[in-house]
Parts: sequence; structure tokens; C-alpha cells
Amino acid sequence: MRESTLWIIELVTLIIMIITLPIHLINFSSLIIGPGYATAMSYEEVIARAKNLPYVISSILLLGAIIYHSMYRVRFMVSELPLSKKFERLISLMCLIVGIIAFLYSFYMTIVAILV
Amino acid sequence: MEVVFKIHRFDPSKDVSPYYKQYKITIDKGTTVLEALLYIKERLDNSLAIRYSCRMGICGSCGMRINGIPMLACKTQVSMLKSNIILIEPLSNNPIIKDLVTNFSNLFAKHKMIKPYIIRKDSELDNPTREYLQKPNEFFNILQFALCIKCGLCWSACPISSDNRYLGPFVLAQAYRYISDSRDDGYNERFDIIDSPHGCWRCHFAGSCSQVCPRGVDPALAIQLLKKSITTTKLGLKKIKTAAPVAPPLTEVTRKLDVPQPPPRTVFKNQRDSTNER
Ligand code: FES
Repeated sequence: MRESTLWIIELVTLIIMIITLPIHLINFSSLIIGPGYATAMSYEEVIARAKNLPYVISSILLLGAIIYHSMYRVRFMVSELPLSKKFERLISLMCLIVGIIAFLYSFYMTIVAILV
Repeated sequence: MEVVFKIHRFDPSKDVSPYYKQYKITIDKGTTVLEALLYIKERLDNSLAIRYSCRMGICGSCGMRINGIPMLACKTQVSMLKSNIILIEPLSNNPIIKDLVTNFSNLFAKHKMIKPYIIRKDSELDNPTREYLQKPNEFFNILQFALCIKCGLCWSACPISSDNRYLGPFVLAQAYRYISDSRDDGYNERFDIIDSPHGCWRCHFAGSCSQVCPRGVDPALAIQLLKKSITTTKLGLKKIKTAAPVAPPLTEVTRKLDVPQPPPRTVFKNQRDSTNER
């Protein structure tokens, strides 16, 4: 994939993070300052929140964006090392594989929480 | 004023590793670092290697790190440094040829890769007839980037330039200078190299290149503008540029009454015949 395409995806993930991260934080901070904090972190409450579809969608988007952003930046830093082209490609491939595994695992956990 | 110059010395053909040698000299108000180094070379140690040419901040040959900061030696007065001990080192990120002289081959090869000249699809450049039309605002868009003297100070200051494959600030700034030139038609020809893994996307926007530029060029800005240009092109948001047309032939031009005639010609096409003609 071209560098500019990766950069454009990075920009998209940044926009997703700007939108979904406040949703995530507000959701939790309102729990912290709200009256229901004592029970908010209980198993039942967490599962109940996990079944709320808009929240689940925003969480999955946030996860995907953060994983892409972190893998892109890891690749970015490694590419500054004096590596051969072959090794550089290997690093890119590893970042892609680690990113996909991390996303699939977190996606699976979210779905399992909904199905419980 | 007495000043100690602590100078980096290294001759790859003799020395195993670099070392520093100290020279104590008396300088006047206004003495430049280059003048001080030339004094040392002429009077104290003629084995010191320095590169310079114009002595007036135009050729960009005398770049070196002075007290750790990349500067032009001919443009830096010793009194400006406000220190009695002055550390002189070669520019970083380039191989050392000898003492303060570094090898720019890699940089110039990369400069060549971005095709630093006007590219046209028409044949006007091969067979020039008239000038291209350029509006003043189009000229001012590229002016600051056209002032670059390729001294390599930005390359030395850039934290990413230790990656030798990175195109670097001055090469990318020159790429932007030609891409944004209203007369140029070579965007697609330069696209692949700028959009490569070691092209403009590697810039972290540290901005040190712009800080050290002796000509007031802002390479960091040029790199961000390159990123913007590539992104908007890919998203189809960029207006397709048509290269500036050739100026139409002058018609109906009459000399203003108060403009005097030019003096008679003194140089002729064939200089050998000029004496006969006269
Ligand atoms: S000698 Fe030309 S820039 Fe310094």
C-alpha cells in the first residue's frame, strides 16, 4: 500500500478517536461522578453497558482506530532504523499481523460480552 | 579578546577515531568563525581541512556545527557566540572526508532524484521562444523556497536525517518549490519519490530545519504543504493545475515618448567580426 494511503487511513482513525474517545471517557467519568458509581463497575452493570448497541459500536471503532494508530506509529519509528528493505517489509507485515490479531481478539471479547 | 577554538580533527586515512585539538587566538570585534579558522590554518596548523568559497553566506560551503548548532562559519561572528571556548565540529549525518569537511554526495543524489528543474509537457523548454507567464502571487508562493543554497544545515539539524534514506528537509523543500511553481508540469513525475516510505511522511515536524536555515527558508512548512498536496490529490480535492502558458507575442507595442533610445550596441553576435563592423 502507498504511504499516502496509510497516512489518509491514519487521518481517518484520528477523526474516529476524536469522536469516540470523548464518548468513552464521558460514559465512564459520568459514572464516576454520578450517584451510581458504587455499582457501576459491578459485573451486571458492565454487561448491561456492553449490550447497549451505540456504545458497543463506538467502542469497536475506538479499538480499531487505536490499534491502527499504534501499529502505524510503531512501523514509523522502526523504519528510521538502518534496516534493509527486506527487514523493513517484514516489520510492516508483523505490524499488520499483530494489529489484526489484537483487533480480532478485542472484537471477539466485545461480542462475547453482548452474548452473555 | 582571546578565544579557544576546540576543533574536531579526523583524517580517515590516518586516524583511528576523531579527536579535538585546541587553538588559542586573539580575535577582533566582527571576526567571523571562518576568518578565525583561516587564521588558524594559515598561521598555526596548515593541516586543518575546511571548505569555503564565497565568504558571504551565498555558496553554502562553510556549514559546520558551531557550539553544537549547525551554522555557516562565514556568517557567524565569534562575538555573537558569547563564549570564550568555541567548539567546532563537522555537520552531522554526513560521512566525514577530513576534519570539518563532509561528503554531500548522498544529499545531492537525492536532490537529483526529485528532478529539481522545471518540467513541461510542451516543447517550449527545448526550443525557447518567449517567457512563461507568472503572476506576482505565484512567484511569491515559491520565492522563499527558491532562496535555498543547499548548505545542508537543515539536514544536519534534522533528528530523522540519521536515517540516510530519508529525503531530508532541503530535498523535500526543493520538491515543493518545483511542484508549486506555476510554470511546472512535473507533479506526477515527482510523486512516486515524495510519496515513498522515506519521503515526506517520515517528517515528525520537529522544526529544527527551519530554525537553523541561514536563508530564512522554512523547509518544515514545505514538507507539511507537500503532505497536504498529496493528501488532497489522492482524495480528489485538489484543483488540477495547468502549467503557465507562454507569453503571447508582443503586438502593437510603441515606445513611450519620454523613454530614450538605447545606446548603440557594443557586443556583436560574432565578436571576431565586431572590429570590422565598427
Ligand atoms: S563561504 Fe560561502 S556560505 Fe560561507
